[in-house]
Amino acid sequence: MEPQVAKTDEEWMLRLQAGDDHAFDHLLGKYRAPVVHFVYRLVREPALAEELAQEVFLRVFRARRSYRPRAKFTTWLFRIATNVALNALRDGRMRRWGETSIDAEDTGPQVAQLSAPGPTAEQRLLEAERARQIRAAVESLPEKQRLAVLLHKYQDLDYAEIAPILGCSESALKSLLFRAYEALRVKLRPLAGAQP
Amino acid sequence: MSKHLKEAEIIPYLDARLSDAERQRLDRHLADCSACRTQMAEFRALLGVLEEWKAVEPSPAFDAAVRERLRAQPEPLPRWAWLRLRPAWGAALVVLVMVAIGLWQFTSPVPPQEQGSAPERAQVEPTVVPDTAPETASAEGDSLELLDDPVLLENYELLAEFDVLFEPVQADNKKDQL
Repeated sequence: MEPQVAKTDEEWMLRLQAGDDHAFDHLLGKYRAPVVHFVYRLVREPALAEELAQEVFLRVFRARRSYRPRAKFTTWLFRIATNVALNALRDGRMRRWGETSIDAEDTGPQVAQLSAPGPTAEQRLLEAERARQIRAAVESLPEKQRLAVLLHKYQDLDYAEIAPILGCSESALKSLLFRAYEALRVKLRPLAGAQP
Repeated sequence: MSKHLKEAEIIPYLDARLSDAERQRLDRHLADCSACRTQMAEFRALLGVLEEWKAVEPSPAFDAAVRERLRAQPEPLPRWAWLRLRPAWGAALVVLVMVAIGLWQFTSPVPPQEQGSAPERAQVEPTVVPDTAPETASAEGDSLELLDDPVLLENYELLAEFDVLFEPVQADNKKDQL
């Protein structure tokens, strides 16, 4: 008989709960990048983001026995990721937001691309500068708005998944997103009118 | 001209998450209102601009590191696992609790009989109605508060380890500071 194949993330978690370690590999493979991306955009330091993302998966694995598939797996996962990242930000594992110059931070992907083949050096510098301005604008948002944007824009979660992560209703989330994007629209208007 | 777009419908419109009827209504308004049309175009451009902020990718050693950390850090036992590990301790605890309850019942003084019947007291004592804050108050609040949803809480046992969920909300720092 063919082994039953899990179709949803919740079913994979139940398989993990039942002792199938392959289910953990599946979830790790599917959400490794999204969790690293999300945590990186919160903490900005690539090495710390990777370490914290690993911690998220450790917690998922260790919570497998008490897991109940009543909420979407992504809601649960990103709530854990949010708390791991915010705890790291607040317990001093990295410099606090705003205390350091954004320019001095993060030699992340934009700068790393400077040595890559393709666009000219000038073009790459321009792109890096635009990315820096976008990051600074998002980081200037109040924390809840920033999380809403990261989960909506960059993780592509739907309202029903994001609202419980932020502890608000879907209608409140829509207003929260509007205010966040409205602030970004004003701050980033010069970039929107001048594509690289 | 119909009413301008509401803030809660602009992002769902861009996400194509409105019903057909709602979308058609907004389309009709946008056809007539240049201000809303401009605003919508700017939001659309903004979402494109935000794409330019790229994140780092996980290292090739990511999975191996997770596995290694799982091996290196022994899994903590469930809260009451020690009872299962040492049945004698569990039995002793049960006996102790039963003895304590028995002693308490034996030594407790009999409370004096209260004056008046229950309905009479109900008339005298005011009914306390708990305050229920409107939903938007917490939604618009600044801190990620402990989840109220019992369905979600069931899966959030491990979140109790995080400080952020248990921080008191600062009354003077409510607006969007999470």
